[in-house]
Amino acid sequence: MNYDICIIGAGVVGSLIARQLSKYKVKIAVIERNVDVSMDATGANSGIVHSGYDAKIGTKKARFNVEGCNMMPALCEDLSVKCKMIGSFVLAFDKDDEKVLQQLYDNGIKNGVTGMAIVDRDFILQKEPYVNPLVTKALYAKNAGIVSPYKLNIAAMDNAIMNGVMFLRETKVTGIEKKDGLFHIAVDVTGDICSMSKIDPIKEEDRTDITAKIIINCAGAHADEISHMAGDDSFKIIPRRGEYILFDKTEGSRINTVLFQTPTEKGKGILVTPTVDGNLMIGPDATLAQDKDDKCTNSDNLDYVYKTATQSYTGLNMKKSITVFAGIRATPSTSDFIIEESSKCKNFINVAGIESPGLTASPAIAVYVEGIVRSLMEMKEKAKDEYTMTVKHDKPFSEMTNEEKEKACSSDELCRKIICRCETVSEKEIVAAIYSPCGARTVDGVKKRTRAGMGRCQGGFCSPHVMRILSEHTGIPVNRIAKANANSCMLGRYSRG
Amino acid sequence: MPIHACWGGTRVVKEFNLVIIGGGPAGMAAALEAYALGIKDIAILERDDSLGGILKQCIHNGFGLHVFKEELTGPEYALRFSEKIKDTDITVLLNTMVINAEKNKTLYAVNPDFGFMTIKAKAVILAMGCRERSRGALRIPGANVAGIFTAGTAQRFVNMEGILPGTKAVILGSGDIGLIMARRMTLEGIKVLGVYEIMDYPGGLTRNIVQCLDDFNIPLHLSTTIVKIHGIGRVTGVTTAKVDKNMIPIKGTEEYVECDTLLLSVGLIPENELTEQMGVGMYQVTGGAYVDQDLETDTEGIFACGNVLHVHDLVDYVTMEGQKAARSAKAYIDESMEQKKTKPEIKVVPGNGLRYVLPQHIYLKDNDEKIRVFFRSKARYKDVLVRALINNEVIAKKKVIRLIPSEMESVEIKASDLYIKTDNGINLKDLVIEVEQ
Repeated sequence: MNYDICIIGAGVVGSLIARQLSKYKVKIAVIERNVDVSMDATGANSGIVHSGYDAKIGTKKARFNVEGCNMMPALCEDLSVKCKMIGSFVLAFDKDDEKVLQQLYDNGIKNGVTGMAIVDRDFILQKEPYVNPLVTKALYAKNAGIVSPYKLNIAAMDNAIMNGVMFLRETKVTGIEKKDGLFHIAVDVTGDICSMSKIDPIKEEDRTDITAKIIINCAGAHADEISHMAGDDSFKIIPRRGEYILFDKTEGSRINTVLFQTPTEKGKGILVTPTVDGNLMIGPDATLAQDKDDKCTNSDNLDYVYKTATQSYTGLNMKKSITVFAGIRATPSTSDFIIEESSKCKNFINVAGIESPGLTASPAIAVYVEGIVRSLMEMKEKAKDEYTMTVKHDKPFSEMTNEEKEKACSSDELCRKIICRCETVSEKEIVAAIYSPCGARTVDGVKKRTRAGMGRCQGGFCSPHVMRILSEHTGIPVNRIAKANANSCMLGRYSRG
Repeated sequence: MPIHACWGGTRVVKEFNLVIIGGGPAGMAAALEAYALGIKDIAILERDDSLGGILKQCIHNGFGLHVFKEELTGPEYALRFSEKIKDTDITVLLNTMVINAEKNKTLYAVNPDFGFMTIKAKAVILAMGCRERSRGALRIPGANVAGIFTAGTAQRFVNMEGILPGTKAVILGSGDIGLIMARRMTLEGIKVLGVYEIMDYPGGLTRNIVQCLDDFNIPLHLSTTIVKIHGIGRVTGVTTAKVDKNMIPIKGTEEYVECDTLLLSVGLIPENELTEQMGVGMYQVTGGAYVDQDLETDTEGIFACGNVLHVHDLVDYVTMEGQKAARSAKAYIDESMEQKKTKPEIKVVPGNGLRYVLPQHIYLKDNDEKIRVFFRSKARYKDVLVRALINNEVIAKKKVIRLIPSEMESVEIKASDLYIKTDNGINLKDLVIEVEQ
C-alpha cells in the first residue's frame, strides 16, 4: 500500500502528530508494533503537565515544554480528555534546597513560565496538610497540572482515525529502504488479535508493500534502531526505567497539588501526585534498563520510591496501594529532544529522545512537526466539513449526578448493567470502547478506556465479564482474549469439549 | 410477590422496612430469619444474576456441618436458602448494583429492569462479603503479565466458565480458596507445582491442608514467598525465596520455578466502600464496621454480618451471624431495642496474643444477656487459657487446646458480671480478652 506519510510508533507523540496531519489531503499510516496505542512510555507516565521551569534555556525541551503546557488545557477540551491545572510545588527542606528553588525560578522566568512564586511553609501546609511539616519553602507553579497520558493518546488516535488515518497495529517495522526517493518499509505482523476481530479487522493489503514519501520516526525507546534503518546513526537512545506505586482513590482525596522534591545531583527525587481520576501516585525512580522492553518492577526500587516519597509526604498508607508498574523512558544521547529532518536521510524526520517533559511537550511537538512536513511536501488542507479536530465522549457513568444517571438508565438498557463495581463502569461504556475509532481489543485496552479493572480489586470481579463482552463483540473466542499483546492470553483451554 | 407490583410512578422510589445488601450466605440467612420473625417488606439487593454469592462457584463439599449437620457443596448449601426465599414475599432484586448509599439509609442502585432506583430503608443489613487481595496490593515485583489470578477469580473461570487458567501453576498463600484450587486444578489436569506461604504456618484450615495438598502430593513451602514474577506477555516463571522471622527474603535462597500461572490466595478484604460512604465507623484490624453485641454499627439501624464484617472460616458461622443481625434488625424496627446510645458502653479490646475481638463494644442493656465475644489469635498456641478481664478481674475463662490465627474462637460473657465489676456501669473499664501468660 502506498502512503504519503508513515508515522512509526503510536505513543502520545506519534498519535498527536497523526492527528495534526490528518487535516490535510494526504494518506497517512501509523505503524505500531503493539496491539494498542500507549503501550510503552506513554502508558507508564507520571501524567504531569509541567510548567517548564526545569529545562535549560534555549533547548527544545524548554521551548516545547512551555508551549505544550500552554496548549494542553484547550487540546484536552477538544479531545474530551480530563486535564486539571492544579499547580505544583517543588518542596525545599533546607537552605541548599532553597537555593535550588531560586535557580529554578530564575530559569523558569527565562523560559517564559508565568504564574510562579516562591512560597513559605504556611502557604504550603495550608494547601497540602500532609506535606512533611519540616518543609521550609517551595516553588509554586500555578501553570502545572495533571492529565491522563493514555487517555490523551487514545483520544488523539481516535481523532486521527476519524479523519482517515490508517492505524496498523500489531505491525513491526523491520527494515527501511529508499528507492527513487520513495521509502519502502518492511514489516512483520506481531500478533493476530486485530485481524481476528470482526470489527475493523486489519486488511493484509494495507500492510503489504508499504511505501511512503515521508517517514516520521516516533518509535520511543527504539527510535535509534528505526533511525539506523534509514542510515542515520547520529544518536542513541538510553532506556531508563521508572517505577511507580498507585494508591486507592480513598488516598487521592487528601492531596490537591503535584508535589516534587528539590532536584539534587543524585536525581530529581520522587513525586507525589493525585491522578486525574482521583488516585494517589508516587514515583518514578530512574534506573538504567538493560533491555528496552524490560518493564519489570523491582523490590529495591519500589522500596526506594516509597521511602523517598515519605520524606516529602506523610499521608502514605501502604495498605491502600493497588498496583505497581514501570515504564521505560527514551533518554537521548544528545541530552535534548531530537525533532528534525535527518541530515543523513531526506524526508526522514526523527522525533526521538522524547523523555520528560515529553507528555507536556507533545501538543507543541505535533504542531512543530506539522511545520517540518509542510516544508518538505506540499499539502492541501481538507475542506472544513471533511475533518474534525474534536472528539466527543459521553460522560462516564461514575461521574454523573444521580439525576443524570437516572436519565441515562431510562434511555439505555446497557447503562443499567454495571460491570466494574470498584469504578462503576457500565456495559455501555465497555461496548463503546470496543466500537470507538481506535477500539479496544484487549482487557488492558478496555481498562485504559473505561477504567474497568483499574480499581481496588484490580479486575478480580469484572475481568470475566469484560472478557465475555470483548468476545461477544469482536468475535475473538474467550480463551483467546489477551491482557495486552497476542502473547498474553488471559486463559488456557476449555476444560470440556 | 411479583417485583413489579411494588414500584409505582415514573421515578423509581421504594421504601422497605429492611434492605439487605448482598444475596450471599449472610444476606440470605438474614432475609429468611427476618421473614420468620415477621418483618414485612424485606428486600435483598444482589449484584449477580442469582442468589448464592461466592458459594455458587465453590463446588467442593464441606459446607453445612454445623448448620445442617451434613456435608453439602457450596451450590447445595446456597440452594437450601434460595429455595426457601422463593416461598416468601421477600423482594429479590437481582443484577442490582448499589452504587451509592447515604447515612440516612437511602440507597441508589441500578438494575436492567428498573434502571436507576432510589431505595429507602428503615433498617439496613450490610452483607456484601469480601474481595481478594490482589497482586498490586501485595506489590509483588516483576513483569506486568497475564496469567496471574486471585484464587477466587480462577475458581470462577474453572467452575463456572469452564475455562482453565493455564497448564502449570504455582500458588502463593495457603488461604482456603488457594488450597481448594490446588486440588481443583490438579483434578483438571493442571500441574500444581507447589503452595508457597510466607508465614511459618498455613493460612487455611487443617482439613484443607490434608485433603487438598497432602492427598495429592502437592508440596507446601512454609516461610517462603515469591520475590519476582517473570515473563513477557504471560507468566513464564517465578522466583521464590525463604524468609527470615521478620518475613524479609533471605539472600541466596532464591529458586526459579517455571510456570505459566500464578494463583494468589493471600487474604480477603471486606468490601466496605458502601459502608464507608454511609459514614459508618470502621474497625481497622478486621477491615469491617465497628459493631456492638447486636452487630449494629455506630450508625443507628445499620447492621453488618458475614465476611463484610470480618472474614470467617466457615460459611456456617456466616449464616449464624446473618440470622443474628436479622434478630437485631427486628428489634430495631419494632423499636423494642432500647435506646442504646444512652446506656453505659464498655469497650472490648484484644489483649495479649490476640489480633482482634468482635464485638468491639458492649452496651449494658440487659442484666440477663449472654454475650459471645469472638476472637482470633496473632500466633499459634497449644493448651492455653483465654480469659476475659475487667478491672483486672477474670470474669470468664476458656481452655483452648489449639489456638491458631486461621481458626476463630469465642468466649461467652455474662452481662451480669459486667454490671457487678463496673459498679452497675458507673465505673467503666475496658473488657480485655487475652491469652493467659
